[in-house]
Amino acid sequence: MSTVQEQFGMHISTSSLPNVSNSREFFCGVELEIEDIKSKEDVIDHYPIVIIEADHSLRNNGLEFKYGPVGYQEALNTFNGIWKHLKVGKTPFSERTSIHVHVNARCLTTEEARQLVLLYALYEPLFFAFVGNERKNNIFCVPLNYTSLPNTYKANLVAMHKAWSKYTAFNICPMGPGKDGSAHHGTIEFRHMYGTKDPEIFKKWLTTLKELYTFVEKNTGFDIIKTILSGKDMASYASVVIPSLATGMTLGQINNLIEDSLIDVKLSSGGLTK
Amino acid sequence: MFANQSNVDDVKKYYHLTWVKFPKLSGDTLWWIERVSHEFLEVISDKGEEALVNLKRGQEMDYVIPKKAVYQFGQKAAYLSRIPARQWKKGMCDKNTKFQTLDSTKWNTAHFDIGIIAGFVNKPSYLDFYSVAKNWAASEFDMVSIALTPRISCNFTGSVFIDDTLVGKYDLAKDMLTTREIYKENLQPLFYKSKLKVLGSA
Repeated sequence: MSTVQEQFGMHISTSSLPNVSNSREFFCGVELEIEDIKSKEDVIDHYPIVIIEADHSLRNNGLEFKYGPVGYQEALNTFNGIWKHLKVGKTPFSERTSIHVHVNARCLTTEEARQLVLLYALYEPLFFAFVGNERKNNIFCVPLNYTSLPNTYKANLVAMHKAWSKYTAFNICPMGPGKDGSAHHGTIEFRHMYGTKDPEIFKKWLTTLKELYTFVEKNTGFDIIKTILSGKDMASYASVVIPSLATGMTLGQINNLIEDSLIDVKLSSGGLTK
Repeated sequence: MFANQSNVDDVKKYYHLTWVKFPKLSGDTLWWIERVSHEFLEVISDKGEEALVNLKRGQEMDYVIPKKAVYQFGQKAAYLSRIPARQWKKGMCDKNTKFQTLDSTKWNTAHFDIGIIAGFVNKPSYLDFYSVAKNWAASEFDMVSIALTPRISCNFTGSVFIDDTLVGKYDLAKDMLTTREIYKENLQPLFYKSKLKVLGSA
């Protein structure tokens, strides 16, 4: 089975950056949207790996801070470092600001990446339970469960990617080339997280993404449909796949949350005649 | 959001030519924002009433893009879902909301019709399979298709769908539902009086 980078035609990186092209370890890129910025000079001095760009969706002296690919710990350290050195006014966050995390998927096989999509789809309500209901109604962060995209889950990764939309909260568009042939990173983008400088919230979020990725990476051959058909309780299974999100929730709560998304995932097995 | 003169540019960008609600003014009534000026919103309700919303005073405005759902609309099941690629408009419009109706053979994309949306926003309704199947058995096909739950529907030819995916077939003559193991627990409670045939293991 080909990997994501083989399937989508990415070249093997020879840069000095962490080698995202031949390691299955967790790597990510982070985009922080922040408004009301008073001074960014200290960030530039202390964190040259951070790219600072204008973003037209932001107001009130807003900028986007991007870094990566980096490992889990460096992602946390850089987040904390940016907030240590950045000077902002009273309103750095608004409904326009968010945190996007790109998780490297280049070295997953296409089927592993598809299983990751399906696992996310099943537990999507837990991700939104963490970031809050307001994000569900954000037009740039639409839950998969609100769309007709689950009808594409039965397709292979390439067909799924072709049908995808970048404004979904869970965005697989960056995994392969854009419809206009634009550059691609071999990543899956998580767009849920609201703008925050709280290190504990960001850490819990990043830990969750790492857990989801690592579950797929370590459980080669995992098949969500076979798991469902085996009679496994998918609510309790959340504590295996994404323990950080599942902790503190009762099985009843998780069951209620995933009742509808479980149907979405079942559709990935095809219809009456498959 | 609270729409007033300070954010009239946002109102124009995100809500002009879309459907919204003014919950404090008119509850669940849907309003089409026809024109945005610095002083007023010119709006038309789903029943054709015209009104002006004064932006000097401001007004709480709610947008109503629903989540995906199947529901009964007249003699057909309707299926409504969000189009994420076109979500730059926050109010509901044909750019961000798709709906289909279930005909005798398949789901067909329907023209954007606020009546269908209002049917969902106000009170989505669902039918009991057996109360309609008895009419179909008597060759009365007034009801083309029925919404059984927010995800499951069936038409008079016996095709059973989750969203718009065919997942079962009901045989009226044999009173038997055919489906796959994975959908059994979803369908069986709705066809509880009928025989069940399960295909394959997955």
